[in-house]
Amino acid sequence: MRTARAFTLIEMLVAAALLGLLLLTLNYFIFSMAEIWGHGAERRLFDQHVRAVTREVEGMLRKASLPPAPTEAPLFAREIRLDDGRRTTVLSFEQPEGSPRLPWRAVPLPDVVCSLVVQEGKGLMLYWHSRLEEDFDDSAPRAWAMSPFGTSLTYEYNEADGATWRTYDQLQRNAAGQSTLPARLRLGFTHGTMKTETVVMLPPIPGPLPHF
Amino acid sequence: MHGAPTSLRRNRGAVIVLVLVTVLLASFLLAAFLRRSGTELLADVRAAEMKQLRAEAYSALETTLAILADQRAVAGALHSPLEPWSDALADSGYVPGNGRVVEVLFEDESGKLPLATATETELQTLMEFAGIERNEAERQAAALHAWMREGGDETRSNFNAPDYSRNDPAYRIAKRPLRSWGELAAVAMDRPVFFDEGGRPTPEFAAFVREVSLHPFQKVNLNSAQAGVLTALGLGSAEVGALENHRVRPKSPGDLGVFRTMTEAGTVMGATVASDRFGTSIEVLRIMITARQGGVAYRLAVVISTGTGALAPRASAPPPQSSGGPTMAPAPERKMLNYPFAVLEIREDAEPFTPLSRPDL
Repeated sequence: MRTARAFTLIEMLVAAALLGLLLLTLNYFIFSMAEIWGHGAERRLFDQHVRAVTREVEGMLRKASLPPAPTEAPLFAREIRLDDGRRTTVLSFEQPEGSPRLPWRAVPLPDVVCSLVVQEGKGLMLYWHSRLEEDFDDSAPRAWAMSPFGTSLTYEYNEADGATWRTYDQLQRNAAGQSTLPARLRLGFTHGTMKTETVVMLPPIPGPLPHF
Repeated sequence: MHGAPTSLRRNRGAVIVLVLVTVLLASFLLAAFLRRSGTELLADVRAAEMKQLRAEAYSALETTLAILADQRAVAGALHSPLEPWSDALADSGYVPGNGRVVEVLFEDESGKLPLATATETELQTLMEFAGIERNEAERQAAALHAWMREGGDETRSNFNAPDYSRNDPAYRIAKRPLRSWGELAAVAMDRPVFFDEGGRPTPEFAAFVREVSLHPFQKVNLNSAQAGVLTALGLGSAEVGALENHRVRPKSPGDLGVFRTMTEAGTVMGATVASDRFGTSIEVLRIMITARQGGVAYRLAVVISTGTGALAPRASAPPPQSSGGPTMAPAPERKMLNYPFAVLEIREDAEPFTPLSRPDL
């Protein structure tokens, strides 16, 4: 007559080991996901946002310099009136074809002149309006917030020796009082205690083909 | 037959259920984790791949331009994308790096109607060919012509000029040729013809755009021009029919049916073909390059002037300077390359073959 038997020691050890492994894996993923969805999500989303905004700025500047852009000055200095009434001279560029990404009220217009500004409390702003608008010369351009986390926009110039970089808050002028273009932009972003800076190379003045 | 006691079977069953539930939960969490982190990882990888594909596309472009320059030097001109140079990239031994695939296509822009110099009647005829009803085509052509011409906002006796000042924002006519097809949406049309209510291009838009070039040039290439363009430029049905028959008729090996001189064209189409409007060489050529790697594709569309009659490129307005604002220092003198072609347009990540989902994209 057979008697009912319990689990063997080996069976129990294997089961305990498997269960321990599964619990360990479970904990690992729970903590990993908590990091993604909880504590680390803020940092991750901030970094994503900064990368996306930087790519957008790079893309706009590159597009502004591609043919049929004006060969002499695809990027230029322009004095604009901000939405708080101040006037400032900032780096500007043109989008000859316009952009439907801009918040047009009706039909997107071509010949859009854009300017990049960082305003305290507002972030990185794109000021824009079309040359075809009847009040182009008289009215202030519209403001569009590219990033509420933008806190600084500085201009980096390569000195004559080619090895020294200097950073300025304003576009620099030469001895004749004319604005000169920097070689790159440095964008600063801040969200809470998180701070990041990115660098955008300005496209060279167009030649036969763009540099890449 | 004896089995295990009921309580033992229940215990073993409970353990199996517990293990299965745990495995299921772990699998679910693992899948969720991979999906979440995988998307972010994929986005970064795609961005890096696009940079490599961009470099590959420009490399292919440089090689293609070198081949075209050689061909032009040998033959004196480029006549048609049907000529052997259209396959020359593969024959040149160009091998894309790292498993990438490069495809190069050509489109003869000078086989289209140059919008910058087209008359109102020519535009109307072409619109009718695009499927637009005659009265509608007349209105559209007048509105488009008025948009592009100096003094186009002056009301003509038979045409009510659109009042753009009633729009939000109020704007004025451009008084210059269109710079992009998206700009067509800003030209007030009394009925939606080229874009529907949602701003999407219509089939008439696609048909019209296929036959019209935004780039100026002098002579329309008879090797590429289609019936709509030829008719718009005044050719009769006999000449157009003769040209179409010539294109489709069987040809001997090596005969591409490409005209190299107007005399050759005249033998097919008749001597009445005006040589001041038509030519047999490519003046403006669009090169479309697609570089692919895996599921990622990068598209580059470049328009070049071959230097045989293309007019000055579309001019952009000078940069605006506010009154009293600073002027810009002139760009430093640079040594320019003696490049074989003038690049009129570069469009990165272009979608040249499919109708645009939104104007200007």
